[in-house]
Amino acid sequence: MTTEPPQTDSKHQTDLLDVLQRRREYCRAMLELSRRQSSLINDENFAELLQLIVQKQQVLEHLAELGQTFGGIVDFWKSARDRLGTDARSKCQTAIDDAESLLAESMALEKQGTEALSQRRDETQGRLKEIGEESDGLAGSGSGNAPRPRFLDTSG
Amino acid sequence: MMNSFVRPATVPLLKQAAEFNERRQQVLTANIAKIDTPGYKTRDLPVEAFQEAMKKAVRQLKSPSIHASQNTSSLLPIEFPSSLMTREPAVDDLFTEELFHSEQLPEHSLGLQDNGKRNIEHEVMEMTRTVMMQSYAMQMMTSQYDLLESVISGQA
Repeated sequence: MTTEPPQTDSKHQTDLLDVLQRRREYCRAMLELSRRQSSLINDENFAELLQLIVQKQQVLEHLAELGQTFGGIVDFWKSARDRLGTDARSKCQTAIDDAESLLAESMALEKQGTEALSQRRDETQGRLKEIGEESDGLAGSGSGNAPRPRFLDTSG
Repeated sequence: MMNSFVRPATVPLLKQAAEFNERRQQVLTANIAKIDTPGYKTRDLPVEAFQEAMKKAVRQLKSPSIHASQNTSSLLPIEFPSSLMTREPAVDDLFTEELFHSEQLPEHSLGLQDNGKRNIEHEVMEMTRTVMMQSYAMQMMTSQYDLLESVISGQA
């Protein structure tokens, strides 16, 4: 004979499920933004990239805020799950699993994006340095130390 | 000071300027990306033509005839003779599609003293701007990555 654990009151169940489902939706939005971010980095569209980063920051702040619900949503879930009814527990678990999977994908894209951007920045900086050196070289060729063109050489 | 500049009448101009700058940034970024490609000829938007259109638009905004062209002549305190009401094109009509299409520049346009139109300093300035945007985006993305990690671990 199995005994059901004491159940968390229905108000708490509803609130917990609501928070976890909203968290999942923010994670989905986050993933969508991470995907668009990758595409903007590939297209080198940095002006739009900065706008998207601002949007991403807002989503992350919402996620962080939701994470603090019930004094820490993950800890609360761990302590409350055994007291939830089977159906509520299953729905909460699904929302958490989905969110983790979405966040893991976002993390991977963020890592790739940061690396790609870092590489592009280094390339641009390298090109800038090259141009600086080329222009120094050109400037140097006009100085007194540069060899004089033969047709202007009046010495003989 | 800003408020006096951002009047409803100047909003279309700001919109055009923002769009032009964004497109130009894309073209210049593409130039940088392909700078080492043999045979690649740098491109740019027609900056002078755009500036001319902008000047005309500003003049229109200042002149009474703009009111006539925008069907707001009833707002004028006095009635102008119809001969003076030269119908000038609406502000948006001044910014033709061609102004937003990139054109190929003459060869060696990246060199110094290129007919006074473009020079290496200008290109360096644009590249520096790109590097700044890349660096700022990198900083933001790195801090967002940390926040994302905290969200996943439930510490946020």
